[in-house]
Amino acid sequence: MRRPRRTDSPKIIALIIGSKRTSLAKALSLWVSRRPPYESNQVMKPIRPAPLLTTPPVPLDGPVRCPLPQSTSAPRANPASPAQPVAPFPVDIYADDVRIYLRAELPGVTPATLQIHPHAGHLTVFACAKALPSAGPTSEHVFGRLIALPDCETSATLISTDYALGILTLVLSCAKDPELRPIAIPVN
Amino acid sequence: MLPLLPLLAHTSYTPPPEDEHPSRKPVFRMVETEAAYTLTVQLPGVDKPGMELVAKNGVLTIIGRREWHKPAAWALVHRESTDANFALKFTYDTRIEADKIQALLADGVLTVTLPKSPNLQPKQIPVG
Repeated sequence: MRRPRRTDSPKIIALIIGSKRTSLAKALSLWVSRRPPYESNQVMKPIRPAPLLTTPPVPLDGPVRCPLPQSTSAPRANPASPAQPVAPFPVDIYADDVRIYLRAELPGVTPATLQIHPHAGHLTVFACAKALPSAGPTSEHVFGRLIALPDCETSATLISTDYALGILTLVLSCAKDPELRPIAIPVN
Repeated sequence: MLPLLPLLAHTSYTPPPEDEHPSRKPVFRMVETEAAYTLTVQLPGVDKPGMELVAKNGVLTIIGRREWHKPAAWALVHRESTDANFALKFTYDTRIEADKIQALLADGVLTVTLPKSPNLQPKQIPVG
């Protein structure tokens, strides 16, 4: 008996699904052919998930509203107005044996408005960008992002914060889960 | 009413041959007032020595170079920024007073004020 080839896939799949819809069979065949070849002696390597970097649809600690600029003395007309749209920002993450270093591009931010909240394996960063002098308070906007910390299952501890040239640098320490911590086993 | 774009038309930037580093266009915003145009450019990581702002032959060129070196002990985990320089180019005509262009760089934001020529500014004409 002839060994089935890859070109036979549409016919085989059409037989299996009992249908004469060759387009469906071809689509399934294409999906099968694009799968990576599996070898029986292949060792499946554990996949390390990439850091999850997403923008939260809503801030975790309630809506963020940037304060009005200093030049405007009148209070906000409607304090219950919806929160300003949150803009994401680029983040670089570095690490060494004990600490996590995070560099975020946040140009034109008022350092006093920085909100950094570490929580289980994640970090939330919010900041208000200064309003343009000529564009008025409408040009003010909020930077915000939820950042997953690599290899950090517990809540990280914020060690230091530095803001210079529009770049926020955070140094964090993450207490490793006891089950994930490497244990040295003495060999006699 | 005079259109805004013919006065300050944005053109694509072609890096000069001697510039070895690749460049990218920064986020910018232009606001017009009665007396001037205010250009705000986001240049995170750029300091004053790395800033190059030239107005020549009706072309305003903005180049921001970033100089940050990763400490040797830091291992990269995830990166979204680039080392590319920021580059932006605008053309302007005689309705901008090039001699009075002012610039301020603070917290990674460059603010350039381009004053309009006095001929464009509103004048009160006395009626005899």
